[in-house]
Amino acid sequence: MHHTPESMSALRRVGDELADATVETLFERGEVGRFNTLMRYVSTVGQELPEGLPDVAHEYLRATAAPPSWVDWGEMERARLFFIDNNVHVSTALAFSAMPACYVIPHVARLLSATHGLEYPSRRMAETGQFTVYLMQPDAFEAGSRFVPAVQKVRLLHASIRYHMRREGLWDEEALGTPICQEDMIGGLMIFSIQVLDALHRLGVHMSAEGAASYFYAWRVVGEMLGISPGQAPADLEEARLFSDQYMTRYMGPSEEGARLTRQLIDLYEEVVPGTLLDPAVAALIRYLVGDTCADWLQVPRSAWDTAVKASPALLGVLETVEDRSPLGAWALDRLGHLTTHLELSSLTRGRVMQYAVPEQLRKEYGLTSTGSRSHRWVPPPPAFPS
Amino acid sequence: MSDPVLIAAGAADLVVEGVGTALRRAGALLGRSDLAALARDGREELRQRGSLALRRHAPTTESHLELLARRAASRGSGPGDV
Repeated sequence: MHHTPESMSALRRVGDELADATVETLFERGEVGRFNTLMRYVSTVGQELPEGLPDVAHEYLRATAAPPSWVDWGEMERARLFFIDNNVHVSTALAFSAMPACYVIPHVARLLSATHGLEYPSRRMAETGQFTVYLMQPDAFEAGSRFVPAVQKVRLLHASIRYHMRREGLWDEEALGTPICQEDMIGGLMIFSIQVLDALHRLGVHMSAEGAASYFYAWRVVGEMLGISPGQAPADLEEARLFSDQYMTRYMGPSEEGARLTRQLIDLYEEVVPGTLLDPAVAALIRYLVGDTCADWLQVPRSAWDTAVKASPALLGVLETVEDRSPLGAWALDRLGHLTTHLELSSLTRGRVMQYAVPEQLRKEYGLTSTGSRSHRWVPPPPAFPS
Repeated sequence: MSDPVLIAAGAADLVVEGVGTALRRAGALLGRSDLAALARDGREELRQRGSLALRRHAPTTESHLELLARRAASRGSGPGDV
């Protein structure tokens, strides 16, 4: 759907009717505690729902169990292949670019800051990582999958944040619109989809046009399952560029909350990086990906590493050449990639079990190496500034 | 660009050219007495190789967010400007 500033402003007044109504009823009837306790044990599709689950929750879980009817499964399969090919890079882009990009929208930073407190970045990063991993499982939408229940829970979580922010008067609805409104949900979708592709490009990762389009497509499916009204999200990368750029330029700027969340995020990553020698590289990579203006708004510290990190896409380019020309090099880089992703996620989730065997499984099942697609390179469209 | 980065890039580039050649060179090295000087030369060669390889792959674009942020800043957008 093509959006104008006016149509985007209209989206600020709209939340997520189904999830909001469910949460409101649960709170009204005092059934939230029971719901949470019972749902803790529901983590896979096809699992029998526990006895005693409130009716309204039953109804919500039934209504939200299916993916949108328009899903093209071939496209979803291509998205998975894209993810397999780029899993380390996608994780890096999510961690070092998408998270800070959320903080550069002051009202989003305010909401995140108000709802989660100190532990926030690590939890959200771990949850986002886990969410992406669940999505990229070959059976993400089938019986036994953890993805659909995760979506259903996140959607209710968002609704409960709306409920609390309003009730406790933590949100100036007159000025800021509905908390986690449709515009912010689509904006978030842009941050995790097209803006991740922008970051991959900045990292020097070569992408095929097909791969980039399918990665975006998968997030569009997720967006609708998370409560974005059908037909409201941009339909393709071209529309996404337009929405993303309009949304960001409308709101982006400095804020105290944004700077504080960024500090917490950097501290978290520095904990994950072994030793202290490489610590400044974390801030440098964030600065490289989001650019100096955003980095200054978020008070990302400067260091000598800023220059060194600029070489990373070039190094990546050299390494990709190695991968393409030498089977031994390809194997070594693949192992390195696997280890890096595993390290990132397991450190972030503090040792909780992560089902990270997906890519291996797909490669075995389909006998895929998918290196050929790199030749047709996708490059992000230039900025689409509103006139 | 700092030396370690250049040397790493040079080393990677060397792999591209073929480990075989390097191994043959290393074999020939064992019989020589001026190893220290050779090591210095080798390091210099890697540095130069790295510099060239990085130039070949260097990105030419700005961060997309940077372009947007400059635009937002010039329009006077800021916190609370919803």
